[in-house]
Amino acid sequence: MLSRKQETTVLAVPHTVTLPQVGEVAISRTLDCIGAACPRPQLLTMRVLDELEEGEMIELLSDNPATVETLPALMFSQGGTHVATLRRGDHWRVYMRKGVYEAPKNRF
Amino acid sequence: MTEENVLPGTVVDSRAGSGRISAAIILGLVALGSIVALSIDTRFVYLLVYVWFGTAYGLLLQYGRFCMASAVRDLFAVGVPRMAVGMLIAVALYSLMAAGVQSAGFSTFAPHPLGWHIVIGGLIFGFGMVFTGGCASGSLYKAGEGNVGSMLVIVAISFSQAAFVAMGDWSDRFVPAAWTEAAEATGMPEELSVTNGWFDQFISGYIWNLNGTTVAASLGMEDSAAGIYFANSFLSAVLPSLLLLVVLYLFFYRRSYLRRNKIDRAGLGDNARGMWAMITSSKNTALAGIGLGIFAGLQMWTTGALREHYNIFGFGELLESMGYESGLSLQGTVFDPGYWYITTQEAQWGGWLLNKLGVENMDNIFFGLENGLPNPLLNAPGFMSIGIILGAAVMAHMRSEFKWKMPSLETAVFALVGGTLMGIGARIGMGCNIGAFFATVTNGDLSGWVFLAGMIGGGYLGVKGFNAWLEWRASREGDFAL
Repeated sequence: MLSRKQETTVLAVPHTVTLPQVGEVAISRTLDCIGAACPRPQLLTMRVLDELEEGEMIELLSDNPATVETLPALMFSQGGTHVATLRRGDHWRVYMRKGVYEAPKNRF
Repeated sequence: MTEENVLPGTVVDSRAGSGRISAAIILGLVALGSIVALSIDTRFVYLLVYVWFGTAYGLLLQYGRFCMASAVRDLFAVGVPRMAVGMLIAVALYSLMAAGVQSAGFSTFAPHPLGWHIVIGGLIFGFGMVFTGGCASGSLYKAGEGNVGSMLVIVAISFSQAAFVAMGDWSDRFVPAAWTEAAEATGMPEELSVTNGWFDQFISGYIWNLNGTTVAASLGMEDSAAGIYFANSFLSAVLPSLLLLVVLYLFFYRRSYLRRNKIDRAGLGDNARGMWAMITSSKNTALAGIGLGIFAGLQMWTTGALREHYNIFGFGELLESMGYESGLSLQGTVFDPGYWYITTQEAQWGGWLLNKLGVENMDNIFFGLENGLPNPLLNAPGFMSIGIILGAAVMAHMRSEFKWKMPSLETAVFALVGGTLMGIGARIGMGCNIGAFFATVTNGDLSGWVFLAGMIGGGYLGVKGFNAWLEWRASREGDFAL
């Protein structure tokens, strides 16, 4: 009955993805948070960002809408950049970059 | 799946609309159930009003992601004020609606007795809700999104309250002698055995000796328009919310905002624009607050009109006249608040089941004297909670956000333990984040801010505890996974 899945896993498999309107970006870490509820994905994001260099990107998978909505605000307060959120079937993929690389206005 | 053009930082949602059929089916079932109930007895309309308003609340709660647990936790865990800001704006806007209801004269609100129990209850409730990932209203709307872990939270809140209010002889040793004396002096009927059990003596020996009041009443401005709009709405809800918004801006938003916009020396105008940016980032929650205020007002009005129509004080009398006498309290009443409320009816579900399993719990004040233990099929506020879940499910389907989610073992244990704490905290503090905080401060009763203070303290400790747990687990498993 209970889900056997680890709540969250981090994959350090560098790869590239093509984001609409953004183009090809290099992903350093993939955070699989499917099945996890707040605040785990947020805490994990903060931990992984700590490990990365300025400009590196992470990709976070979540099926929790509240989490997905909070991440842009988290990037705002943590000095990162929310690049895009894409819906993929039953989950979202959120792309975030460490460091502020533009002055985002009307972000929320 | 098609991909639409997307700007950096924007959201592509290519699935919108696929859940409309499920949403329509749920609404159809609510309508069908209503027709069946009315065909049995038209007086069930009183109960159905709770279902319909519950459904409306559920739609709004899911839309605004109305969760106090996120509000408190995100502040301390990750420094994000977004949900807290939304909550405060909702409080301010809702209080204006509540003032309208008060001045129209159909408010069913009663102020809560003020005492230390409110802080302590808030503390326990706030601590528990960090582990469950949802407050009382949050767990309901998340259950509607298909989250099985949140359903476990509701079960835990239900049974822990039912067990807590019915604690027997063993709990007497924790009762101060003064409470027992005061309880004895109340001259309550023997079958209630008020000097037996911790919770009964807490209520009759402590709570009943406390007073609750509204700001308008304490300023001697009761019933006047100035008292309602200025004292009960502005002084009690709007002003404290604005002050807290400024605090949130200064501590959690200002630095990031100024850095983002490359402002070195911020003037008043810059800060005002920053405040506004912070406020508009929580638009959905604020809109939900307005909607909830309007519907709660309409519900009070509708329930009041029905009470007048049937010439009753509450649903208990109606049940009696319809021939359902089982589960009524000693006074012939059942819990029937007339506006949105969450935890008490959940306690009744668990209490009813325990009663059927042979637990004697009609000899306590909570069920036996005040709220009754109606069959869940006749529990009007209980149907409001079910309506909230259904309404949230409708909204989640419409936004393609519905998904059955099974919890892991750890999440399930946290849901049950945290939910148990929330249930206990709610009974000590006389309500949850809705009944004890949201509905009180917006009606001129400052006791809700006291509950909030306790809840924030509990939330802070909860985040510390949660982090410690994650650290411990990560160090044991030697990996990064949380």
